[in-house]
Order: sequence, then structure tokens, then C-alpha cells
Amino acid sequence: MDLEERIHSIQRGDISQFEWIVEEYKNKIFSLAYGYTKDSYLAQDLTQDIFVRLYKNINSFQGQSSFSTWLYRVAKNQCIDWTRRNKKRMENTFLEEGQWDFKDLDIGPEERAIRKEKNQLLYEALESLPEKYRTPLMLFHFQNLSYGEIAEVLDLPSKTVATHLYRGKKLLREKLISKGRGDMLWTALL
Amino acid sequence: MDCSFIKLYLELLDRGQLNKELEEGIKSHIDYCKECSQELEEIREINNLFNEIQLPSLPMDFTSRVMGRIREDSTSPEKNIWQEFSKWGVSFVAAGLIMFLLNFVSFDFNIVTLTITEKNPDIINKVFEYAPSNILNRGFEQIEEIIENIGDRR
Ligand SMILES: [Zn+2]
Repeated sequence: MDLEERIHSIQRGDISQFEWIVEEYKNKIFSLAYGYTKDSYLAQDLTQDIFVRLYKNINSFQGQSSFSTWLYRVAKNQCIDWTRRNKKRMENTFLEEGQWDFKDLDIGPEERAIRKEKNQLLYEALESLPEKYRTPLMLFHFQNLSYGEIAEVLDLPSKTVATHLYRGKKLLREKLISKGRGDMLWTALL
Repeated sequence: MDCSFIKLYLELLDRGQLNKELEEGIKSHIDYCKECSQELEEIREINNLFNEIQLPSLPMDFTSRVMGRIREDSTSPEKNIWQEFSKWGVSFVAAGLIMFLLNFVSFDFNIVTLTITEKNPDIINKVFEYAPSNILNRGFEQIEEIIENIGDRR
């Protein structure tokens, strides 16, 4: 069954096909949600809310864009809503210990600590960016979307997406440098 | 090609997503332009960081938890009201929006739109999320025309 057929059967009431959608997109949505919440438990809850929302609104998808564009648009809006509702909380949030899914399992504790620190620096720098830069950067890097796809999700011309990505990355670099300054780790970072 | 154009495409060069012609053009520019090759270096440094980023993993039972919640809520998909609207035709929807906006024209259209978007971006987001964009765009075009006409009359 192809994606279009699956969506149609969900729209006709076959809930079991939605399970396939969750499996297919859960990691992508989770990585986006994590970028906003910086906490794996909160990101799990948010990802769950996003899927419930997607299911409830599945009938509003009428093939006017690709399904993934529609899906990311809903997800992005939910994430931005979440940030707005949790502004206070975010100011005091630090990355939790959590279980990190490192690709190389045989890394030592030292390497592990360095990676954790890199993660933390990058997420915090991302968080400090204005929304208009942060979202395209996350869609580009975590969702691997093209300029054209990001343009569709954000309803912006591709040229604007290119400009925002360029400026966003420049700003991100500045934030990373100022955060990392005076830190021995900085040399290991870049 | 000038540097400000090149800089917007360095990201795609690094990802190998440019067409051959553009890729060759940009590469030969970088060979002699110090500024752009420096920019590319900086972009690559940040991208390496992104490539190394790690995410905590989702629990194994995540999907069944989501499905459980959906079934438990006995949530069913909502009807798409825009679909219903579209049956009545674009002009009807546009006319409705225009009527709504005309009520506020005496306050000055710009102020009204700003207030709506600033006070409740959710509403605007929702409209854009669910409405077929072709209907919205055509509706907006018609509204813009009418607003221009009103402006002219003033
Ligand atoms: Zn140049």
C-alpha cells in the first residue's frame, strides 16, 4: 500500500493505518520536538500530542502539498505553541542526563562527556536564536528537508529560506563561539 | 557570480545538492575568492557539529502508546470545514471574509490585521494549517483588490 492509499484509508476510518504513519515519522518528529523542549520526557509528550493532533486533523489533508510538508507544518506549529506556553519553564531547563543514543557504543567516559557537552552547547545556542532562524535550521539538519520543502512548510519563498539559513548559521556560530570562549572544550568543538 | 549569491548556496554545495552547472560555477569561484572559501569552511565546522549531534531515543513502546491514547480518547478525525466551504465556491468564502473585514475598515484595516495576528497568532496559524491554500490565496487576492479600491476612494 502506498502512502496516499494509507492516508485515504485513515480518512475513511481505518485507524490501524495510522500506526504505520507513527512508526514512519516518530523519530523525525521527536528530533524536532527535542530541539524545542531540550528534555526527552517533555519531547516524548509533545511528540505524542503532535500525533494525536495529526490524527484528529487528518481530513484537512487534501493533497494540496506533500504529506510530509503538511505533517511538518502541523508539528512545527505545535512546537512553537509549546514554546510559547512554556517560556518560563524553558528559562530554567538544562539538558537532563537521560539516555543518549550514541552511535558508537564502545566510547569511553571521557569521549562521552565531551559529546554530551557538545550536544548541550549546540542545543542551547539553537535555543537562543530567533524563531525565524531556528526552525529552518532544525528542519534542514534534523529533518533533512531541502530548501524547497522548508519553503513549503514555512510558507516562505525558497530564496528567503536560503537567506535565513545562511544568517541563522552565522549567528549560531557567533553564539557558539561566545558560549565556548574560555572553555577548554572549544578547541575540541570546532 | 557575486559573493552574496554564492554564500546562499554554500550550504547546498556542502550537501552535494546543487546541479552540476551551478556546482562547477561555485567551485571555481571559491578557488579564487578567499572570503567565500572561508565562509564554506565555517559552515562545514558547524555542520560537523550537527552531524555529531545525539538524541535520546524514544522508548520501544512509543507507537503503541500513541495508538493506545488515540483509541482510548476514541478520538475520531474532525470533519474538514474548509472542504465544506469549498463546495459553496471560492467567491462565497471570499465574500464572507470581505464582509467580515469591511466591518472593521473604519478602524483602519492595518490595525485590525495587526491586532488579530499579534493577539492570537494561533487563529492565523490554524487558518493556514487547514485551509486549502489555493482557496485562501484567491480569497486574499480579492480582498486586496477591494482594499486597494477603498484606499483609492479615500
Ligand atoms: Zn566570493
